Amino acid sequence: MIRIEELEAIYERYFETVYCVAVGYGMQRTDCEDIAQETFVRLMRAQPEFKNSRHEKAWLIVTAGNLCKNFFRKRDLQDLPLEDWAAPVYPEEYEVKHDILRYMRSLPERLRLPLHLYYYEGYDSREIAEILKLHPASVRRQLSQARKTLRKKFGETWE
Amino acid sequence: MKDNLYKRAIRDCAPERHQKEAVWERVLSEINAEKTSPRESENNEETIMSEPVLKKKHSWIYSGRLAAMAAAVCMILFTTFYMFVLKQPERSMIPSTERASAPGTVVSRGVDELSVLNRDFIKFRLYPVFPEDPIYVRNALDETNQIPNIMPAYEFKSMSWTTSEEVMYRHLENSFHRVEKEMGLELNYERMTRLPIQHKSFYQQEIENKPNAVLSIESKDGRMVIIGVLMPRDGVELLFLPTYLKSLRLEMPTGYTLNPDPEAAGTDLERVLPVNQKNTALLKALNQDPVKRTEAMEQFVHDLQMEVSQVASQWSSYLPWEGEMKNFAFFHRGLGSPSEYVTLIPHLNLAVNAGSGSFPVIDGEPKKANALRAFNSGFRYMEFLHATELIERSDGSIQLDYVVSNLFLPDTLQETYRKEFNISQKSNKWNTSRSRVIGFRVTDYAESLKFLGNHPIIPSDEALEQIKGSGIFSTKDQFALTASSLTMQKFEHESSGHSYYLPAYHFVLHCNSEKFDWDDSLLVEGLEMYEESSIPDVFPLIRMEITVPAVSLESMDLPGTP
Repeated sequence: MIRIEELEAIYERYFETVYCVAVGYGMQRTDCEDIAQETFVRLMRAQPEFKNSRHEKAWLIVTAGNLCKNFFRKRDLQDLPLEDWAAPVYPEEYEVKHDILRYMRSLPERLRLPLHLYYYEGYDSREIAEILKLHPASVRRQLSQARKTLRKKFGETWE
Repeated sequence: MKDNLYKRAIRDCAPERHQKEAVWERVLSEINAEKTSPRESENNEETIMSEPVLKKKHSWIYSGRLAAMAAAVCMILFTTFYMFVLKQPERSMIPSTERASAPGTVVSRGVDELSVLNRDFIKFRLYPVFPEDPIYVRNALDETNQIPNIMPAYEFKSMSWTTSEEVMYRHLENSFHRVEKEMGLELNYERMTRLPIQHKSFYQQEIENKPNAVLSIESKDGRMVIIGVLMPRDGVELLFLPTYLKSLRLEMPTGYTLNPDPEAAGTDLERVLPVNQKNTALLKALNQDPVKRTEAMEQFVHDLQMEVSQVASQWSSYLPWEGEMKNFAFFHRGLGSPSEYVTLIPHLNLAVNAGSGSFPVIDGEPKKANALRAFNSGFRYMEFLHATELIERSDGSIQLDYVVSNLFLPDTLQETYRKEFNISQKSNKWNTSRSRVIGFRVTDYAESLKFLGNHPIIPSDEALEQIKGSGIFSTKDQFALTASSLTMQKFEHESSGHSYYLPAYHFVLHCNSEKFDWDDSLLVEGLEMYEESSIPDVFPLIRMEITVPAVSLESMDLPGTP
């Protein structure tokens, strides 16, 4: 049973990690905050037993990733009021500072989290596979595909 | 880890201290709110219960649930037994052929929309499509089922529809003769020549998607309507026009007889159509005796309609507006491929239109995400996208109509127009018999505009009146300027990248192919005529399409022309 004090400690440690998962999905600031909030609320609700801190971090990352996917899915599927249909899905004041993060939206969902874990969190493909419950070869393939796409788009600046 | 662009970007967007604190506050308040919720209170209560009481309560709940589940299972079993055992013999006592022959038979299919199915008015034929090039057809008939990538030799894009329609028919007719000779097929080219297809687009469709057969319904009076095409993609895929079937089902007059043509059952057809699961049964039936063929066709119709109904109902729930799906006819995969079909139901004076406004079906299932994407790509309700259609009326004349406005002005009003614009009936054959260009049906138009109610430019009532009154212009019987469709066009603000939509009228300048001798000065005249009208004031965003006959019929060197 996680107590509030423990949750606070976990929050302190991993807020940025969780938040940046959402950033990596190309979300704007307020959405990133929502994802982070929901991730920790879920943690409190689920009360999982972690084997170690590594497991704890992985759980949070995967949960945040799933929430991001749900976010996009809901956004696509929700019944928008008529007037919103004509409005751009992502408004002008979109706050992502970098083209690459904006571009992440156009990457297939399955590529985004592995890419983030590899390039930002510094996991290797085997670890990513373990976290995402995938085969390491699949992860490598996904990473390669994502890299290829990003190189095509951003050329030299990508590396 | 190498510090690459992605990492730098994420780091730049890392949360700030105040964000962290604010989110933590929200997390806490959320958790506290949950703690005080009734569900949570109940759970808390449970945790302080003593063990035996808790067990007892669980045991009671468990047995209650079990009983409910058992009851549900019994009900399902009984229903199944009733439906399939008790009811079945009663139904099967009526021979299927007998059921089929009763005109206006009411057949309950379990779906409201399909409850009345008059199966006696139609016969099916499967035609090979686009035999304009015998080589194309021959290869299409190849046992490998590979459709060769041979493009039609002629480009129809630049031709006006009024001319190219004739060309198309002649083209098809000639081609059919040749195909008959070369392939030994007996094709009903006479009817094929009246193929009510928006030919130009149909050609585009053919080029892009290479359908290899159409499925048509032919009424007793010889009119034929395309209800679907078979696409050689992922095997063979049957695409269909659900609106048509719906209209047909509801409005088709009775009195037609089911008369499958035995001659159409040649084995050659089997070779025309690559076989897959969907058409195997039909093809098989075509080679069997007439009774079995009838049954198989009925089954086919039924399956098709079930499929249509399912897809239609699926789509209805995905549509961003209320109301049933209208003029929504043709699904295609992927965005951007022009697949403009128009299906005519002449005896109903109804044009069923389809095309680039249709939302894509991906993986066999329409997805709202795709609809949204389509929408954001500039696609709109089809009524906004397509306007000018050919309608063949019962008196044999061809009429230009709007999908938005399926109302035809009475002849007296036509006469008024003629007088007003000094159009003599004799000298302007095109404008009288080929395309009686009429104004808008105000009610539908107004309905359509409801959709635009929240958009940046809202046409005022006065503006609408102006548009209504200025729907047609004509001078020297060489032009007719038609306010033909209302579209939503996507515009992007260059600096911000913000995209938005504005209503825009799509005007078509039709040129009289009879009188028309193309030169630039006439185009200028037409444009001036347009500019002088009130239309540009009403709608600042106008897309103008000029259709002109690029080649006259006489000078067209058709393949196979004697």
